[in-house]
Amino acid sequence: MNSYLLQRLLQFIAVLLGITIFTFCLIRLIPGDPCRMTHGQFVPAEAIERCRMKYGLDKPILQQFFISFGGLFSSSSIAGQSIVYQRPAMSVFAERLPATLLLAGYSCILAVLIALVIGLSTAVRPGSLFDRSMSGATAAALTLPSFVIGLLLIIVFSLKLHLFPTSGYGKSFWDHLRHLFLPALTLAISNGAMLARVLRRSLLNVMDSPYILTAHAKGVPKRQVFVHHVFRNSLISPVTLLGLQIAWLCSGTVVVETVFALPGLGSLMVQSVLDRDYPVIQITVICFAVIVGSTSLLIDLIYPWIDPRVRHD
Amino acid sequence: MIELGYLKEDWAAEGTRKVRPRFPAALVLGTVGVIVLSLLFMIGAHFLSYAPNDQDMDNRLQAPGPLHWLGTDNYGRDLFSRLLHGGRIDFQIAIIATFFTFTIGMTLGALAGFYEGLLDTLLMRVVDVLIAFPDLILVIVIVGLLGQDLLGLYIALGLVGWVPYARLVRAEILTAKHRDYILAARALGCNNSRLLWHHLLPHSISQAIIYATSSVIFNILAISSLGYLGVGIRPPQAEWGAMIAEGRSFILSAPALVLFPVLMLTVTGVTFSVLGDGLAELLQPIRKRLSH
Repeated sequence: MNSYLLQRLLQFIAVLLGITIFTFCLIRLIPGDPCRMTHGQFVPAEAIERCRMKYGLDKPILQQFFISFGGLFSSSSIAGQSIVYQRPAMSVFAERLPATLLLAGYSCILAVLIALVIGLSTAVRPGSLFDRSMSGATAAALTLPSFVIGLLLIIVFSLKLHLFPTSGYGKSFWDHLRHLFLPALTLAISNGAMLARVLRRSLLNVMDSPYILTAHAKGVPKRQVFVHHVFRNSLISPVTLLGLQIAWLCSGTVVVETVFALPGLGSLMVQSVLDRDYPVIQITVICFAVIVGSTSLLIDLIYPWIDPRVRHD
Repeated sequence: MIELGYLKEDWAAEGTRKVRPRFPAALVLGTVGVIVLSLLFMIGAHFLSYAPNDQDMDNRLQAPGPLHWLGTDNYGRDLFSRLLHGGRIDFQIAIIATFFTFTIGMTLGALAGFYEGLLDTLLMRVVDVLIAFPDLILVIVIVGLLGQDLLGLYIALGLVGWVPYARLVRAEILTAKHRDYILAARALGCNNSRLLWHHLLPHSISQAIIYATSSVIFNILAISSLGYLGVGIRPPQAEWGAMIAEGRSFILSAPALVLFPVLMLTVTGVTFSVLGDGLAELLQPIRKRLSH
């Protein structure tokens, strides 16, 4: 177990290094000089050259990589300065992180709730009218882009029913929860729909297996069979999916934060891309990759707990 | 018992090769749907009386009527025409990008799975890195930095899209190459390239073909999300996501501006997912029946 953990950690660090190099290449190899971009076309060549020297863009590419990588973690370095905000990219990033984390966690909880309610209620009576209509509804939810779901929720809950605010983040924690409800629900609807479908199929597969028949034959109460034998054994695929969904969730936050005007990492990234604020783009992209990588690591570690047959020897 | 019956039927079909293949209803429905949509966007869009960018400031925000079938937007542009032209762009990019990513991913995956060694190790490390990025974020960054044009979109979708195909095909090839029929083909004197492209690949791409339909849906969602965020294709080019973003300000006074693009996105998405279900049923019939 320990050697497996060590191996996974080393692998994670290697991937992280790869991600950093990839992000750096992506930003540097793409045509367009950041200094030319920020200064505009009509600035004399000397000013551009000064700017290039200031950000270390005149150095060899390998040296530039170390400067930009080191700059991200040192508040005094000029390389880590946001070109637009004129302060360390790390601090701009840290300011926006809580809203995104709260949104992601909130929507995960809502998605799991939606999946449990729909998955369990449809698996109990497969083929019923409710089951079939839910199958259609979840399929439709999967094909809708998140900004469309967000807009529909705004129309119904904010503009018509006046239950939740259309945008903003709020001041206190409870205020945050109220403001983030619609954005989190937007993300949770498509993720929850997919989880529900997988949970339903998984439950039905387990219910068909011989050991469930045996449990019934032995006279174990129905409820106990469902809770202890069926439910726990059906969790493997949904948990795997939940891990994969973190990546989609990150993509989703970018869109949803823009729709609901939330001060999170996603909206920061879109704005930085439009402004070509390279240090900020670099740190947000790396951060999203870290979130995805560490979640998949976490899911791998949870497996043996859900299914003791999976052992990392 | 029923499952055994199915198996018997399939065996019979395999043995005699006389039973005609049955096409699943979902496959027929999905194919017809995709053909209708393609005709509508590719050919129908050319036969309209209004160009997508023709402005008629006297007839702004018109309700649906005989003159403008679905009404007009805030610049007096015909919504129906914009809807079809927007569909053409979304459809075209999504399908071409899917085709390229499929080809690239399949080739790389097949080569890596077949030859293994250094190529496989290198490819899998690249895959590890790319898979850690949330797709849409990578697409936004690449398109935003490369410039918001068609080429940028193709490069972004291409860079992100080939990974799942490579993984799927590689995994299938890794197991398929140890089967008996490959040994038999080798014994008959097949060289590596014939073995890979004629014998292994046709048996290893069904998963990838099924995945291609969800990849089209992902591409359409990505293009429209970029359009909505203002990072995608530049206005005034009609594009569903950008149309929804523009119509947002008039959502209460002229809901048609948002409603119809949303409807088209949903119909297109559902059509491709039905096609995907149909393909899955056709290409993996026994596995599907046995799994449930």
